[in-house]
Amino acid sequence: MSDEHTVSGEKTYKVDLLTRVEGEGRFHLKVKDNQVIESKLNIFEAPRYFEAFLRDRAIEEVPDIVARICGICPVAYQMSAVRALENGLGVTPSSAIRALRRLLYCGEWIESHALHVFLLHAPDFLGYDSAMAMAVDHKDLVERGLKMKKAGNALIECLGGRAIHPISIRVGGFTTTPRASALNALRDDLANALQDAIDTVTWTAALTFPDFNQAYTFVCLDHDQYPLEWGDAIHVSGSGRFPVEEFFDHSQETHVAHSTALQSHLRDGQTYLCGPMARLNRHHERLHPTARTALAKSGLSLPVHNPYQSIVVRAVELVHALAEALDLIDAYTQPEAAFSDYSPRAATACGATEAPRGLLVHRYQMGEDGLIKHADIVPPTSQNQAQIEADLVSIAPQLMALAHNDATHLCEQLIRAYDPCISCATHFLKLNIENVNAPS
Amino acid sequence: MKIIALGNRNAGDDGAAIAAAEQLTLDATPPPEIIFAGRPGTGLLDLLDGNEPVILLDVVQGSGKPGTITTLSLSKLTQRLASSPQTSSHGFGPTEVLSLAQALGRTLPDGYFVGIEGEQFQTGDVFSASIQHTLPQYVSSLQNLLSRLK
Repeated sequence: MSDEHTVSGEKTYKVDLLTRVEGEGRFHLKVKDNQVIESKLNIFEAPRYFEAFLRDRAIEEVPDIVARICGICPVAYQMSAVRALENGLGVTPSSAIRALRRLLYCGEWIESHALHVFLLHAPDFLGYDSAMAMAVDHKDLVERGLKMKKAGNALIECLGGRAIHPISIRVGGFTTTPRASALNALRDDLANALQDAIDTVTWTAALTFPDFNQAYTFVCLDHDQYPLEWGDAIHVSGSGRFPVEEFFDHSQETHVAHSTALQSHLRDGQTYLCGPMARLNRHHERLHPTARTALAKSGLSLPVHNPYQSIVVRAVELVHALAEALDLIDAYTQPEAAFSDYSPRAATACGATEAPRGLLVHRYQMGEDGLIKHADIVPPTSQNQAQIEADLVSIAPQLMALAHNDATHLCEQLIRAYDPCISCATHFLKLNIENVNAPS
Repeated sequence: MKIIALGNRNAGDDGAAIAAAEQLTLDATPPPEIIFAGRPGTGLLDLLDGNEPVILLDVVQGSGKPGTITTLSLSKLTQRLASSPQTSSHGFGPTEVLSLAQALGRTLPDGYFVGIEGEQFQTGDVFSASIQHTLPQYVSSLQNLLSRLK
């Protein structure tokens, strides 16, 4: 909902509810003499205190607790948690377990990206307020997205015990592993979804994108595969890489008065962007060959610096996740052991994986008693929050030249391009654009 | 007849439909088959079959006094319950999902939606006094409906 109000040369644009993002917040943009004097992404959802919940809980409880942070990307929280805990405990999962975890993570990327591309972001490009409205005219598109999402959910359910908040991940591996026949039963649907994803790359690449290229600092996990469930280093574009355990030396979380979510910056104060664009720009040569081919045919220029094009990037990652999932299923034999044993010990360790929305870092301090003493969880939306504010400042000059509704839509579309999960970091976004001293 | 219980048992009154469904399984012999679907978002579409009648249990907000029980045919649900304009995945409740199914031209199953008005939705598994007081009545309503539909 939006309104427009002009008093004494001051022009205020207001949107009471930003739709199709996860969570609640408000954005305020104040412009005076064509200069942005204030840009705030106001997240007012109550803090959820998960890091405090984890204190004095047993190591074994962590994967199930952190899965509750998000219904869309619970696997990401579980994966980063077990990576950190295993690093601290000196446990290295077998290659078979790592492959199975990567397969599970592919399932989450598939369901999350399909949801965002078709049900949350596509309506922006096709001129609809919601997926329901879009479905009337574009039934095939919505059905395609739902089919892909279902294929991803089925994979998570098979490996994780249930599609939402899976329960099979544990320190050292899985509580149980599936029979090959159970995974093979998913193969046809995943193969069909792969073809749909390839078509989606072509479709998204043909959309019209606002002109908004930005000089981002990109941050993502570094790995010799396209980064997903594994990686011991983090790469910052323009400055190189550092070990995951040094993350908190390079990134700083700060509290800002207008947000209940912490904001991240690099230590030099620089905002940064994590997520699909950061991954693709750094690791496009590590995409599955099928995804590389789809990317090449799309005509998307690399590196991608326009966040509106993230819908194409997500489509490419959909191809990657589906193609790799099929390869992993074809190569799968049920491991002899579902998990590796470990003994508790005092340690502090970090772990990071690539959630659908970007880098997700966990750090735990554990005691010899096997209890968590301290936990730090840095979700991708927290890391991107300051960059979103910076982007809205950057796009302000374009807004001033647009009609109110068009300007509002451009902002909403930009924010949605980040696929922000405010509920992870913290529910609605309200947008105020106030143009002080604007000509009436 | 398929019964689907929706809600989050860790969000205060949002767990009331789940609690009622659990009570149904304890009270009936044989217990009815119930799908505890949590907050499935668009995943609810996958649980609906146009050829199989369904009863949807959920907690509603904003339609009346806390504890008020609402029974609607599914065909009337999309007309009678206010839909949030937010269609994030978290915002895909039964109303939005049934609207989406209609927009896609899918056949909606016959059946009913039975909701109970919640009051507080804070983190935790404690119900408000209103829900604690009316939960037995909600269970009775469900039992009566099931008896009627047999």
